[in-house]
Amino acid sequence: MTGWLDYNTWWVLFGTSLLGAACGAVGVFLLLRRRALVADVISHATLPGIAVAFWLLWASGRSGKSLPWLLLGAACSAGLGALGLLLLRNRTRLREDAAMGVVLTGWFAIGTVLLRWVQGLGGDAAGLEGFLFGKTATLVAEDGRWIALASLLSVGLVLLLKRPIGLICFDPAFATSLGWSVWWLDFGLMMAAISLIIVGLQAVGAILMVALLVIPPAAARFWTTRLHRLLLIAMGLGGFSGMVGAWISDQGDKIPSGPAIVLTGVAFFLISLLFGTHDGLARRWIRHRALEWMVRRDHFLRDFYEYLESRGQAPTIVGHARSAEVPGAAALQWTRGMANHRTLFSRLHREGLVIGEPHGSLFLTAKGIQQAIIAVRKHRFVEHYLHLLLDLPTEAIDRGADATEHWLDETMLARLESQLGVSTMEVPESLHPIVPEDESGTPSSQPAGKLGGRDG
Amino acid sequence: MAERMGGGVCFPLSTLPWIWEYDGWVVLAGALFAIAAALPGTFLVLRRMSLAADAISHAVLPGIVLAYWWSGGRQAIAMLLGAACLGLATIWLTDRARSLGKVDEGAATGTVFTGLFAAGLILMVQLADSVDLDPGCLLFGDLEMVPIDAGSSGWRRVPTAIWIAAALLVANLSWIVLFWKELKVSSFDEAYAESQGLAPAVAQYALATSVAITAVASFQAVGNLLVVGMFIIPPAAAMLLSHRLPSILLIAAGVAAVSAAVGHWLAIELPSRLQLPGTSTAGMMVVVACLILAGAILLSPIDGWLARWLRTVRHRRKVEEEDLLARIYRQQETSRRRPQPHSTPSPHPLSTRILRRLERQGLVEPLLDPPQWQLTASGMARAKELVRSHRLWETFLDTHPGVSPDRLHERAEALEHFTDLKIRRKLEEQTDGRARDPHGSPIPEEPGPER
Repeated sequence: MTGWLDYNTWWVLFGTSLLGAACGAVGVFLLLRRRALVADVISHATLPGIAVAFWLLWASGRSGKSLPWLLLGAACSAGLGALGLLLLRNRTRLREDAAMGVVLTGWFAIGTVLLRWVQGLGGDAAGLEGFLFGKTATLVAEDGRWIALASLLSVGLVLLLKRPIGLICFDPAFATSLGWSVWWLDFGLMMAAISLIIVGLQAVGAILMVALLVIPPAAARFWTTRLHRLLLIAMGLGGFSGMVGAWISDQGDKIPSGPAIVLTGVAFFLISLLFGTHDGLARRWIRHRALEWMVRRDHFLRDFYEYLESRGQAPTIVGHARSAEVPGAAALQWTRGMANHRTLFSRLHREGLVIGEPHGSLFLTAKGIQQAIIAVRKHRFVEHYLHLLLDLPTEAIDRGADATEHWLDETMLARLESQLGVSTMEVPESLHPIVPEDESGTPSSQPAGKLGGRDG
Repeated sequence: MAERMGGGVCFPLSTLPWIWEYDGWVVLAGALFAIAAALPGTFLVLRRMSLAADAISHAVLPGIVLAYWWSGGRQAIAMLLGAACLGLATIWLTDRARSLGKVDEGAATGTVFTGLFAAGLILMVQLADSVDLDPGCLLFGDLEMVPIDAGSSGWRRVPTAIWIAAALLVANLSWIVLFWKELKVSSFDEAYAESQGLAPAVAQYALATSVAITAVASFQAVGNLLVVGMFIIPPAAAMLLSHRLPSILLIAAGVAAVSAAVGHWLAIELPSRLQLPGTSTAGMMVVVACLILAGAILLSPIDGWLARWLRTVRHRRKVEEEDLLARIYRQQETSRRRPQPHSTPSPHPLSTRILRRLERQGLVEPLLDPPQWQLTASGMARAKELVRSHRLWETFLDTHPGVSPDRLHERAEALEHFTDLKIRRKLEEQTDGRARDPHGSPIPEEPGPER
């Protein structure tokens, strides 16, 4: 294609982005109803209707290629397919996936048989399959107008019924109790999907219409969990991939518009999968790393505190600019089992918790002391809780506390304080002697700190 | 593409009469491919992965295009390899999207297969100069052309497609036998399979590979439609007819073979009878499979609509008869206790229709003077059982909180029809062998075994 966005192209871009946005909105509800692949069934189920409509037109002496009539036929047979699906699912032992597969292949086979007959009857039936695979050429303005109309209608329908459809997605029983008919809402949703698929057949082809209904909502799930935003994001992603895909197809050489739109959608899906702010992989990884660091830091600070405590030099929250010194060699021992203790020390430095040299002496700063006391208190609170209230033996509580203490928040700490009768910022006694464990299991001569990797 | 489809390159549109040397091969090829698809298809349907068949058969497109482009022609092995890789990739990617991205299963499948299919389409258009593939032919296939691709003498007279189909069937059969235990256990209970060290993932990927290879190997010969249909419909029908895995597999294979034969026959006979042009054999085979499935839905002895309806009717008749027996017993009981003039008409006349049925079973007999119905000895025993069940239940439910006294009768009325000797013994124990129910009526003795 040459030229920079002529009139035709504008209509096509407008149409495809509207189609994408509409599919995004309808697809969100299909996804929430766990019916994403219904789109696949519906789009295959259009074939018999196209054949029958063509035959009726031909028999009544008109041209068989009148687009509105063919689309009407397609919509009717898709509707019958949807009814068949509901019937098979509700009235037989076939499970949802098998019912979908049966309707899909059965309807498609009937369509193939009818289409052969119709084509053999004569008339200009060649190219009817084009409806199914989509035009591999570029769209024209006429297509754009049809698409815009159907998109507006189905988005209107879905947004109008947003509340009840949302209800049946999350709690069908509650929706029924409010007087909404699940069956009719499901049917309306399917009708919206059908009308979109019908117009999309021309633009992108049946199989790729499935992608438009499935991919933007699936991508939007990585950004939010709220229905309202989910709809907006899915519509945005769908519309944008419709526009970008059609534009790429227009600019590029031999790139059909349907696949270009779908692949743009897939690209958005991958971006969302990686960088989605709600549940993206990057976000999950960062959260995981932050948690890991918190556990390592707390364990280190607790070791530091307990080392000093065992020598009667326990720092308190007031009156200390920094704690008594700890030889770096001892500190290195606590981090044994952690390969990268250098990064640990440098990060502790950076956060202003520890000063000094790992090869010389280390001190806790005032901030470090505060953090260490919090860490120790959490640990011992949990130990006390496990021992006093859950009656676990003292030998068993240390590991349990290690695993649990990090998840305590302010409220839980306050509760534990009042349950255990400890005043604020007081550090309770440890319930077990703080002795290092050797590999041999006998207490070593070093009097402080617990050795052995406490990996979070 | 459109011109090719309509132009009749893929399939002959003329109607020909049935010729054994020709149509025999078509039926055989269709049946072999159909059975080869139905066997792995059974496990797809069992694992609720029916739509994976459709997904895989679309998603292999880029693999086929690349293999075609790379090998510079329709090299069967290269295309099989390409398709198998893409089949595995589809399952793997879907699985990743589901576990890593927590995407809903249907949405994951939809995303992966449409994405791959779109990539395949673009590749095909981009490489159009060197890749001469037709998606229409891939989808619809040319089963009718099977016999043409054959030599003239001896073994050569067997068409190539038959060899492919036979090899496919043998391959599918042997891997199913090989992985039988894994497949069976992991299809029903994945967690248990894992605990037994059976590696359900291996079975899963073996299945995906088999589906992909089966789909691709049959594309050229019979088309996508027949294969995907045969993956799903015969197993679905078989599952309605049986609950045991080996017989499900056998029935599925049988349904597949029958629909191939009947389908081709219909594709030839129907048009010539109805003065219509010839039609797609592959499509007709799937339609016949659908009809068999519809037959199974209606007539299956296990849970078919007819069986369900008969069960309901039988049950309703039983309840009607038993209620009537119990009513006659109660009337006799009342008249025995408080003798009344016979002239008092019963408020509800007894249904003659039901009485005739009971008479045929020898449970009641007509008396001439006074004209009324009387229970026979066996009828009396049955009626006693029922009334005893009813009153025992009332007594039992009365001692249990939560059942209001005015609903006692209603509940007992429903329960009495399902109460056997064992339950009555238990009820008697629970109610300390009381002689009267809460309404003051005597609980009849258990009728003796001598009836």
